[in-house]
Amino acid sequence: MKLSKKTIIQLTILAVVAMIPLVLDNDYYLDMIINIFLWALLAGAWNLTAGYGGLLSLGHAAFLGIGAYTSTILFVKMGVSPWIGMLAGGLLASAVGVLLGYLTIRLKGPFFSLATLAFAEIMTIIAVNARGLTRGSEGISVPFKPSFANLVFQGKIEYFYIGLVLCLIPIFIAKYLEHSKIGYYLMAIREDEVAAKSLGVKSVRVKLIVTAVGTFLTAVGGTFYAQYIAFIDPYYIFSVGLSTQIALMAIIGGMGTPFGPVLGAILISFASSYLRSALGSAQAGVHMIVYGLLLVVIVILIPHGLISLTQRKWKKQAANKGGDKTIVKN
Amino acid sequence: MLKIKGLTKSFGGLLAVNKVEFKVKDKQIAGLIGPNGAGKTTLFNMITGSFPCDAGTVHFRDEDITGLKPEIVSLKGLGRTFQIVKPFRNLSVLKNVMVGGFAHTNNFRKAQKKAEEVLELVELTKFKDVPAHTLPIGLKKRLELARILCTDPQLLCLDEVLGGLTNIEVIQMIKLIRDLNERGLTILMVEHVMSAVMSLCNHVVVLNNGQKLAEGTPKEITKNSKVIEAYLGEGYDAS
Repeated sequence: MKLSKKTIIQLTILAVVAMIPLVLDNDYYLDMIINIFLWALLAGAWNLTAGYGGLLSLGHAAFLGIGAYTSTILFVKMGVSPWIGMLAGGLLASAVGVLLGYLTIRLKGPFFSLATLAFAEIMTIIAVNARGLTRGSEGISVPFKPSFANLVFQGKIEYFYIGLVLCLIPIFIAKYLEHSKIGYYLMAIREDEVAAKSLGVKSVRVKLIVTAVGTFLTAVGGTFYAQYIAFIDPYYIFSVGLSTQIALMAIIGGMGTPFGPVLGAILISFASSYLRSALGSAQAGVHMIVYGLLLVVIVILIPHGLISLTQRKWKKQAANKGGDKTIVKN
Repeated sequence: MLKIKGLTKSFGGLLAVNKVEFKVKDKQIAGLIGPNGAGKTTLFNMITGSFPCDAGTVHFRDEDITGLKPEIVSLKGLGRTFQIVKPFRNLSVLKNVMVGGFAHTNNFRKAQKKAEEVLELVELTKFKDVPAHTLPIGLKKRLELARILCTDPQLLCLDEVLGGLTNIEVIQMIKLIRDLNERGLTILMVEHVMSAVMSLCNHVVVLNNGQKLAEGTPKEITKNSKVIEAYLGEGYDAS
């Protein structure tokens, strides 16, 4: 197999990233990178349905929470390995996602977003009130018993590599979508559902399949989060703030592209922790204001996301090659 | 090929289509004409499954397809275009057509090959890599046609494919439609450009106020006094 230049660059970057823990022996930075992997996984999973399918969910924290609670409850109460819990949480999230999707996927635009937003709120209320199962608002701690089976580790290196592998999954799936029937169908639905149907696209089925995949991955991220942070709190894990953070990263990085969410995760993570350390000691809240302004500026200046900066040149070339004077903007 | 019987649809108190029936025979180019608001597009939407029918039946190749969903109707070989074009705006022209190409295959390369053939046929090959929204209207209409052709339809319902085109584009499109028909495609077209209807169609159905007013060859239609009064106007000259 002959590798293209692009593939070689991507593999090189991956190799360099994979070697980071060998040279960087600093828990603060490793922690930051592990968090970026987690965000990249979540934003990447969200991007599958939202970026490629136009399903702008603002309640993805619900699936993160389902994953985190499922594996943690199984682990704490029954001693089930979180690896199995991860799978169970993923399957449960898929089932819930497909059911919720079946009920809401016919809703258009903002109505769909609102339905998902409400769903995450419902999950918070359930988690807070089902005290017997979830310990309510106290949250659940994951006991510190390091072992591979328990998905609990002494250091950070194991989390680093698990996180790295996890955040690659949505990238591969996104790449698959860009070269497959289901991906083309999904993008067609995003662009115009009525036209897609007229070409034989079974739109509900396509959307539900991708929803199942995306929510599964989000729940896997939830388990990883619970095992890494070792504590889950219903008010955080199901929060609107978390849902919008996930969406924001994919939007800032570039929706509907394989690498956009990764770029968004990197930029937002660095920006928010840099601003916190640089401005955090000034007037309280200033760093949040600057952070907010930064996001507004990025969205206005680069509406198609950071990834579009790398593609612009290529697009210009393509337009010059394919176009002539008959091409007009409308 | 297509047989509709007693098709009826009302929106609230408005009877949009009232007990319409006609047939389209194999290899025919049938025209559906009538004044604005006559119910032509509504009828199209009922035939292709976009609107449910209040009453009546649609038979396609001796199979009852009444009430089937648009995507199922499309997969059975009854394709349609939209009066107001619906390109997949941010996808390239090739990708637009490939969506149609996947109708009968899961294979990426087969769909791509099929799409490239169709683009060649409708002469859009040189635009294949540009995003669909950058095309002017004439080419968008051709893209719309290419996309549905890629699904291999047996019957094609064209909803005003000539609307908004320049004279030269109209001539090109007429030639394309005739070519497609010669390749064995049956066509049902809604059209306001009468010269095109007269030169292309071998059977014409006239709708007015949701009802079938007349039916026959283009010659018969132009001599029908009711049609002249309702649609064509006094002194209409078919040539």
